[in-house]
Amino acid sequence: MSMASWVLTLGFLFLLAIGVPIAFAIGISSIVALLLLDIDVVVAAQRIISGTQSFPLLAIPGFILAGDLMSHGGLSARLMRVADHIVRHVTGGLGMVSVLSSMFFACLSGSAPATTATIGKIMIPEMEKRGYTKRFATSLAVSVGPLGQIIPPSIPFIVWGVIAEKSISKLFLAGVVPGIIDGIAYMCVCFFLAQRAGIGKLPRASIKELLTSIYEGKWALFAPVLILGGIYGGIFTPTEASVVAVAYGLFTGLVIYGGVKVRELFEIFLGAMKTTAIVMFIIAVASVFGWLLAYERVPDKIVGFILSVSGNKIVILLLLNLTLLLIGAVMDNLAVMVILGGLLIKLGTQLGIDPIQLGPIVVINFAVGMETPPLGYSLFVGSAISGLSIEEISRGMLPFFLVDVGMLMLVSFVPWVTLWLPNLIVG
Amino acid sequence: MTTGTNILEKISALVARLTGIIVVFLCLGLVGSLLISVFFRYAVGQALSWPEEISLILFTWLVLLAGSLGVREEFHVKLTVFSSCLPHLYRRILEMIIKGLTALFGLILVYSGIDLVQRTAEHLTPTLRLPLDWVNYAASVCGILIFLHAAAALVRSDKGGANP
Repeated sequence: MSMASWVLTLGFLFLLAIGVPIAFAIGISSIVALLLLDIDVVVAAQRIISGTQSFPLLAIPGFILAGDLMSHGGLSARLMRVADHIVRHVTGGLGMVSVLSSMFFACLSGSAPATTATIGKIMIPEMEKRGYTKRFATSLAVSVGPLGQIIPPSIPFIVWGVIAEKSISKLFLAGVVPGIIDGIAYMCVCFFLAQRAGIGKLPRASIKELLTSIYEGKWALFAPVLILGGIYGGIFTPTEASVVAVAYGLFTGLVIYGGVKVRELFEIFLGAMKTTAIVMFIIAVASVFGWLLAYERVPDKIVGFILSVSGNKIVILLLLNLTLLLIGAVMDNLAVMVILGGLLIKLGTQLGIDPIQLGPIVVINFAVGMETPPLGYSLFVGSAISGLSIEEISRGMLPFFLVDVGMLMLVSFVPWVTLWLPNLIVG
Repeated sequence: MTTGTNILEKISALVARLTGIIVVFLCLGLVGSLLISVFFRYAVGQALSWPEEISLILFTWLVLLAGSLGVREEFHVKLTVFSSCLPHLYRRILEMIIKGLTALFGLILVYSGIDLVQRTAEHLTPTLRLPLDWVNYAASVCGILIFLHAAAALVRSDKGGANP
């Protein structure tokens, strides 16, 4: 690699390590590399602007805002009540309520921290009251957060679709089966851990209670039907579906459930746009970095190196998963996607992996990064809600982490898990 | 000196408030234009071409303006593992260096953005034939705001002030 490539990568890692915000660490190292390569710095502004000029990316503010509106509006609370009435009577039932609620909420939101925040705020105190340790309740809320970005709609799948130039609708579907399997596996962990700890069961909800909660939650339960049905019914693009979800969240929050007050709207909108800026500013600046890597042909060199180490697909896939897990733990997942997207796609092509399967491999690896230190957004949210330290929560996460690793192996080595549903519905 | 510092801080705070209001209006415009597009396609049976282009222009401004707001409010994501281990004095020095680097990035973005606007002065957007400057000015404006907020934060941290 050239001097500029080293400065780009090592300079970025150094700035990241000393605490420069990721977006600026990427931006500053990119500008230094541009100067070293004697390339006009106009490329920086040009790439930052073009990094935001992508129609599919418009779905990001839409889904973030829709998730916030639905959460404020009381839709998530009603979804949790339905989940509560379905599984609370099973051993580990309250843990399962957390998992099932997050799977429901994942159908409204595409973000891991948002899922952890929504589920954790209600379920951590509730589980503690029923005999679960705070550590277990928080670890669970943190672990289920990433389901928010595996089950559609999903912000990382939108970004991967833009990078890989693949159908976002197909990628959304590729996350459904892994998301469901992951959810079921988490519920099994809840069952075994609750049984071992001797935590008592809650009384079974009557049919009347269940039907009442379903009736009261009908607007919330209809939201995924509208969003995903609209996309797969060919009515909306994912971007349009996101703004329809915003309109639906506004309508249900203001008119139906009344959980959102008009005077709160400004703060909700501004809060959602700040979250969008955190995500999108990194993506915009990372497109300069990604452009420089491609200019320096770094992806070609790294892929060549990897393939020279081993030609065995299984070994390379294992190495790929390990590398992505480690990178996902220390880096923002979307920034890595933009920076390493070209490399990953090249490597996938060399290995004969369908980009629709590669998407979930990348997204799930980085989703696990959301729950692992030092840079796990869901972990930070869980710590803020529960007051527990990152170390304390991390210790309780081992069983869930093992589930995630198992899921990664399944997604990596059994293409059916990710490709069956997209091929069945979209073809 | 103190008066100058206060003025910088006041300008930064005022600009941040205004930016927040503009960002919310940009968001409303973005969501509204896309909803109009969906409505016209299904209710009126007419596919409009302008919403996509307008929403993309609004989106670029939204991201870059809200991104600059993150410098003042410090909501951009960063690793604090290393800095949190440092003694207080070194941590403060490091924070000032980081703010200085952020301000420098803002200045370079201003220069780079102005250069981009000059090079594309005659260019128009593909559908609505709007000047491409409408989009490209966002980089320079974002750079100015990043510089302003980072400079205000730098002066604030020099005086040991808390973040807003």
